[in-house]
Amino acid sequence: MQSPAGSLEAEADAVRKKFVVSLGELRVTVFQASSEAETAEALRKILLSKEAKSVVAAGVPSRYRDAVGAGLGANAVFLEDLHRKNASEVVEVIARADVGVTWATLGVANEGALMEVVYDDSVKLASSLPLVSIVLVESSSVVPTLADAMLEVGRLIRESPKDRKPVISFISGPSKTGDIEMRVLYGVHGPHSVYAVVLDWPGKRSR
Amino acid sequence: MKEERKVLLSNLDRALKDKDASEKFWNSMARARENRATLVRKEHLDIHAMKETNRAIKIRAVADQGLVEEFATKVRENGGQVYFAKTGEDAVRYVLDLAKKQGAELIVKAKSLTTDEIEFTAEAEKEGIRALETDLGELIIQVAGERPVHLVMPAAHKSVKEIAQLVSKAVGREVPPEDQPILKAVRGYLRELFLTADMGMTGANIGVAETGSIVIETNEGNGRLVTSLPKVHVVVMGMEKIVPTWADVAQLVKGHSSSATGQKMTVYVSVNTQHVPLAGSSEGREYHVVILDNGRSRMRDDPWFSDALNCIRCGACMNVCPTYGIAGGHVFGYVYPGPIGIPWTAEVHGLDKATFAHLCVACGLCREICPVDIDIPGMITKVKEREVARNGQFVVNEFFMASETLAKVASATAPLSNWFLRRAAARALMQATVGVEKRRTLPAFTRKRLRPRLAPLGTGTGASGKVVFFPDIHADYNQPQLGVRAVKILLALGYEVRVPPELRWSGMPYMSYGNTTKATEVARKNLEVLAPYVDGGYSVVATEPTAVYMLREVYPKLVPGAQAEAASRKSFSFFGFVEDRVGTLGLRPSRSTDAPIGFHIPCHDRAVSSGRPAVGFLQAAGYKVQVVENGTCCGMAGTVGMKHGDLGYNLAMEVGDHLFRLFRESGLKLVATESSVCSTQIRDGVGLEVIHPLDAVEEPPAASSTF
Repeated sequence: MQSPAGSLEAEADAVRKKFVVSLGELRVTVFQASSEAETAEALRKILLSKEAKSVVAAGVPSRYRDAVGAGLGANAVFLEDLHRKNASEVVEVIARADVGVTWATLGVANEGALMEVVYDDSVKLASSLPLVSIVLVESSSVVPTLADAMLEVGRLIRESPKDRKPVISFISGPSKTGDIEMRVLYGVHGPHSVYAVVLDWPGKRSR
Repeated sequence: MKEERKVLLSNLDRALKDKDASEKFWNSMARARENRATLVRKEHLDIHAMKETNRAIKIRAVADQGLVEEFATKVRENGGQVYFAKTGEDAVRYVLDLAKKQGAELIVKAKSLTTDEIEFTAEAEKEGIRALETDLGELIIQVAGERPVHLVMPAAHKSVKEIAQLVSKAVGREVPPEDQPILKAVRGYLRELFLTADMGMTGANIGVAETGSIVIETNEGNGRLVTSLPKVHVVVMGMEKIVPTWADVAQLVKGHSSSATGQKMTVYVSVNTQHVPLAGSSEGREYHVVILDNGRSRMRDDPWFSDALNCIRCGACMNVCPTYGIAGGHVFGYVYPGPIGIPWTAEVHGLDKATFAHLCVACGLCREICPVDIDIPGMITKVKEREVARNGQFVVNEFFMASETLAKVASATAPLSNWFLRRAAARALMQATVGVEKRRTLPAFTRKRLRPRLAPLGTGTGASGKVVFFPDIHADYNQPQLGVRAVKILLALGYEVRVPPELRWSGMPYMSYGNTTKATEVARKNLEVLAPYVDGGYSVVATEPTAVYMLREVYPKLVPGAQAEAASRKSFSFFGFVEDRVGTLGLRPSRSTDAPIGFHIPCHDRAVSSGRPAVGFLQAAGYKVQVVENGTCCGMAGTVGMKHGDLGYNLAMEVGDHLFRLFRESGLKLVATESSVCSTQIRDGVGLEVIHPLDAVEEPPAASSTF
C-alpha cells in the first residue's frame, strides 16, 4: 500500500504529466530539464532550430540566471541589465529580438497554460513581441486547474501594495487567429512558436 | 409597410439570392458548432452543470447593485480613474476628451463589443482621431466599412481574396490572397502602429470587484500590446461584466472559450489592475475605466430583459441559429448580431433597429446552446411584440395564431375541409389573402377527434401511476390515432390516463409571432386545468415536442409561480416518460427492419432529451436507427415554414436544404420524427416517407396489460 506521502507525490506527478500533455496539444513544444546543463542545452537547441540571432530575456529568477545565460550565449540581452536605457530604447531592443525568454510563476495542468506575473510591461513585451517565445517554469509550481490558478491570481493582487499591482497573463500557445476563412493561423501579432522549458531542478542559491 | 420592415425584407431577399455567400457562411457556422462539440466530447464536459454554475454566478453578480461601486472604489484605490457613462454618447465623449487632452492622434483598439456598441471608431474619426482596430477580423471589417457579421468572428463572411484586397488597401501595397503573406503584412503594418500609438483601448470580458481588476481574453495577443505599449490605457466595459471575487473567474473564462471557439481557454487571458510602468518609467502612464450603463440599469429591472445581462458574448447562439446561418449577421443583426443581438439591439440601439427579430423562427436552439442558459427566445418574443405594437402584425401571423380555432373548424367540417385544402385554386386564394404558402403540404384534419376515440379504452388501473395526456393540436385534430397509441401504451404500463376536455393547445405560435398576452392566457388556462392533477400526483405527457417545450420551458416564464414550476417539473415527452420500460412492451415493427430507419431530432426536443428516448423506442422495436442531422433546425419551425414569402417558406427551405442534402445522401427510404411539422418539412423537401415513431410499431391491442 502506498504511503500518504507517496500518494501525494504520485498525484503531483500526474499533474505534471498532464501539464506537458496539455501544452503539447496547444502547439507548445515542451523541454524538460533536470539540471543546469540540461536547461542550457534545451535553450541552445531551441535557438539553433530557430536560427535565432538576437535574444532578449526578462524576469528570469536569479537562481536560474547562469543556466539561462549559458544556454542563450553571449548575444542574449537580459532586460534587467538595461536599466540605464529609457523606455523606448528598451522597447526597441525587445521589438528587434527574434526570441524572448520569460518566466512563468505557475503552470496550469488541465488547461495547459503558463501564468506570467509581471510588474513592468517591458517584461510582458518580451513574451509578446518576438516571433519565438520561450517560457521557463518550475515543475513544482504546476497546479491542477485554472480555478486553482485564479485563486492564486486573486491572492497575488490582494497582497500586492496598492501602487505595485502585477499584470498577470495566462499563455496557452502561440498567437492565433481564425479570421481568414476560419483557418487556424499562428503569429499574427505575438509569437508564432512557443516553447516551455519545464525545470525539474531548484536552481542555484543566489550568488 | 414601415420603412424598417421594407429594409429587412429587401436585405433578406438579397441574402436568399446570394447562394454562394450563404453557403459559405453556413459552413463557417457549422464548423464553429463542430469545434465546440469536439471539445465537449474530448473533455467530457458536463454542459448542464456548466450552464447551471455560469448562470448562478452571473445572476448573483448582475443582481448585486453594490458591485459596480465596489469595483470602482478598488480601481481608484489602485490609482486608476473611473467614469460612469450613463449613455454611449457619454462614454465616447469622455474618451475623446481624454484623447484630446493627451494630444492623442492614434488610438489602438483591442476587440471590444462594448466599444462597437457605442460606435466609437466612427465617432472618433468625426473628430479627427484615428481609432484603429488591431484584431485581424475587426481590422478587416473596419477597412471594409462594415459592421461585425458575428460577435466572435467579425469577418467570417469574407473570402481570402476579399481579405487580401482589404489588407492591401490598409498597408498601401499589393498583398497576394494567401494566408501567410496576409499575416506578415498585417503583423508588420500593425507593429509600427502599436509602437507609436498614444492610447490603447480595450473592453473587458470580466471585471473583478474584490481587486478592481479586469480580465481580457484574446487569441491573437493584440490585447497584450494594446495594454502595454501606449502610455494611456482606457477600458470601456459594460456594468454587467463585474463579478464579486476571483473564485468566479475561471468558470466564466472556460464557459466563454469553450462555447465561443471550442478552446479550453483562449490563448491569452490577461489580468490588468493598473497601468504598470514600462521599463521602469511611470511617466504619463494613465489608466481609465469607463463603466457603461447605456440601458443596462433599465434592462436589469425588466423581468424579461434582465437575462440579456447574463450574456458572456461567446456567440454560440449565432453558430446554432438556423436563419442567422442563412441570412448572415448583416441582415440578422445591427451592431450586435444574431439571436442575443435582438434583445441587446432593442434595448441599447432602439426598437427601430431590431426589426430583424422577425427572422427568428423560435426554434429555441439559442437557449439550448447558451452556456448561461439565457432565455433568448423569450426575450425575442417580447421584442417582436413591441415591434408589432409599433408596426402592426403580419396578416399571416394572425392567421397562424388562430390555429386552434382553425383546427376546430377544419375538423368539424372534415372531410370537406381537406378537399378544400387540396384544391390548387383554394390554396392560391389562401396565399393571396392570408399568406399561406401554396406549395406547402398542409395537414389533413379528422372529424373524429381524440377523446371519443379514447372512450372505449377506459382510464386504466393507475397501478404504476397517473398521467394526464396533453394532445396539443396534432394528436387531437390531425392524427388522433397517435394519441390513441400513446395512451394505449400508457395504459398497458399500468397508468391511469386522463385527457381533461378543458385543455387547450400549447399556444406556441403566440410565442413565435410575439403575442405574450395570448400566450399567457392559454398558459394560464392550461395550468389551471392541470393544477389539480399535478397536485394530485399526475405526470403530464405529450407526444408533440413543442407541447413539452412550452410546458417545461415557456409556461413558467409566462405565468411565474409555483403552479407553473410544478407543472414544468412534471411534464415529459412521451418517449422520455416510457424510456426505461420500452423493453417490457414487446414492441413489434410495423415496417421492414431490413434497411435502417432515419431519424430527425426536432429542435424543441433537443433541450429535453435530444431524441434519445424515441431512438431507443425504435431500436426496441427492432429498427436500426440512423440519426441524420446537421446540428441545427430543419427550417420548418412550427408554422413559419407554412408562410408565403421570404419570412416563411423561402427561408425555411433554404435552411432545410442543408438537411435535405444529408437525407438524400443517406440513401434512406423511411424517416421517423416526433414532430408533426418537421415531418412535413422533410416530406416536402426530400420526398421521403416520414412517420411518427408510434406509427413505426404495430398497433397495441386495446385492452391488454401488455402487448
